Amino acid sequence: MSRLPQLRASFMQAAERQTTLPARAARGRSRPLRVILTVALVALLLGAAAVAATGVLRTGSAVRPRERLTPTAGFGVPAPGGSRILGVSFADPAGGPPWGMRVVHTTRDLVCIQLGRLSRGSLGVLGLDGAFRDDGLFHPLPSDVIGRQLGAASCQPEAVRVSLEVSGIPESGLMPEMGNLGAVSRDRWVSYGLLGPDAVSVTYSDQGTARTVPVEPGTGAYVIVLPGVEPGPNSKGITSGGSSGASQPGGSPLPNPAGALTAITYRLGDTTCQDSVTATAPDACPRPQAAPARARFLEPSLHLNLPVTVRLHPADVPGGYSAVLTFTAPYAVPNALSGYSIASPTPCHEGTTIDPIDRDVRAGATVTVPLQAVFANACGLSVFLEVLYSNRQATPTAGPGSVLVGRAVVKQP
Amino acid sequence: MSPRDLSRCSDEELLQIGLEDAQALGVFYDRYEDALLLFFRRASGRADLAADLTAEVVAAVLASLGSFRPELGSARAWLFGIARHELAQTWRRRRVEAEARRRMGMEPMMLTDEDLQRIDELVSDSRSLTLLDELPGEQRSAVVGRVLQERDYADLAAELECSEMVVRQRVSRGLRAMRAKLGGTR
Repeated sequence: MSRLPQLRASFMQAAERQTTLPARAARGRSRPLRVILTVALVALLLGAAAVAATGVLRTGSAVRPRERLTPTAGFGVPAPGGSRILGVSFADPAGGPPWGMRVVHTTRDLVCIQLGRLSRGSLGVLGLDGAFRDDGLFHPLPSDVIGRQLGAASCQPEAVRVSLEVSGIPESGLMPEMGNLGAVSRDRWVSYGLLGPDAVSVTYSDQGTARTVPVEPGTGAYVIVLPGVEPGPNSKGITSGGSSGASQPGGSPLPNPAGALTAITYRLGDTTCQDSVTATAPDACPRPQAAPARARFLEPSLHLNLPVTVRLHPADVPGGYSAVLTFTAPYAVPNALSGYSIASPTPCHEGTTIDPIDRDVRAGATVTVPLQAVFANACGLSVFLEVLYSNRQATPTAGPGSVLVGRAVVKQP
Repeated sequence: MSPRDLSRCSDEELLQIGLEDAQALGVFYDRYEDALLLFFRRASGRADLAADLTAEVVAAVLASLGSFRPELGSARAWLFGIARHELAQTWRRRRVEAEARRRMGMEPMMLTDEDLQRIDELVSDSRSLTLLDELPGEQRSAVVGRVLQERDYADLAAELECSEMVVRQRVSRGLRAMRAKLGGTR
């Protein structure tokens, strides 16, 4: 028997509707192969016609951001003059515009990576595979379409170097909105990253053949585009992966053993070394001896005991009450590299719910946070609410590196 | 034509048959409802969020059924790939999306106390999860990542900033410790 019979019934109704609709409408992206091939052929012909007429792809409407960005919250907005198309490109396995990358520096001191197809010096996506109704046009990707790429980190602090492997990216370059769900016909395995100024080149495996390409000097940017995963030892259902880190060569990021990248070559002074998926590589980069000099962590478990007030109000939510929590910020949050969060430990369950306050805060400011359903997961008549601060870029959690600003015990009226 | 015994079908077959037959999707749903609820309940610490996220994931499964390709991995891996993505999106946006449910025309849920209790029972009845909580942090992270979230060793190694071998050792030691405690308390 289902634990959520209401959900099961709703799911079955939707499933019935889907399976009884005419094939094309019902399956959405699961169109029969014949239709896919027809659409792809038409799109290719349209694209070819556009190229024939003008020598380049005709340009359609720009990709629209999915969400409105705010300068002082979340990723921030693109900083003026902070966006640049990088000097790397890679041919698509099926031809057409090559793939490229842009970095976007944001107002919250993050660097976001955009991936797409290059045409006449612009980054964009193609009207293929369901994107833009298969119109075969080139659609520019504005710099404010960020945080959309799948993978481990499309936006990160500038000091962090990243190496990402993402499968299932549609040939169009337009990222699917939910998981690895976008490609209907030909998809791509894309390996890309920013490896920093010491990086010289990357080596990848193309159907068993090792190939090496230089990275962009200075940024260490690279992009490699391969056909979608074929059945074989590498097909583990991986949708994305990669690693990131702020350390020197020899630390993170290391090539992902499940990915296309097999080695990263660095130049350290007069010598070169490699970070490789092969553990016994003769010229392996030396492992960093000490922890990387990242932002200074605060003392573990520092408790400031500052007042935290919580005002309850009845609401039609689980537990019957929502609340407004207020505290005075002891530290400034000038960007996305630090932040406050509200933690709600659940002593009779496991775990702690952490809600980050993902916005800039002035030191000494009164911070007000609405909380929905404060008693939804309470196991008694009261809940603990803790305000945490961390100067790490990750979500603040209790423990080393975080400050417990204050705590409130909220009793159910 | 004789009716198929869907309960004997593999997950991958169910998704394939489900393109034409909703009953196959019902069997698939039944196989994974608890697993998804437990996954989200443990990740979020809240039964209501677990229900909401599970609903969004099953709607996403319906919406993207045709894109499942068994040659790229199992149906289970595909399903939990969607689940992990949904969880990451939720943390980032601090809200559970209802986009897939709206697109598929699924009704909003009205969760009752009984619903939430049934979800909580998934974790509170599980003695092994209590033992899991008693593991040292590094072993717990490795066991949770590998066993409950079904993530790859490489992926975990990248997140935990250690080698795959170290992750494997932590998983192995964690499971051994849990087995020993289970045996010792019998």
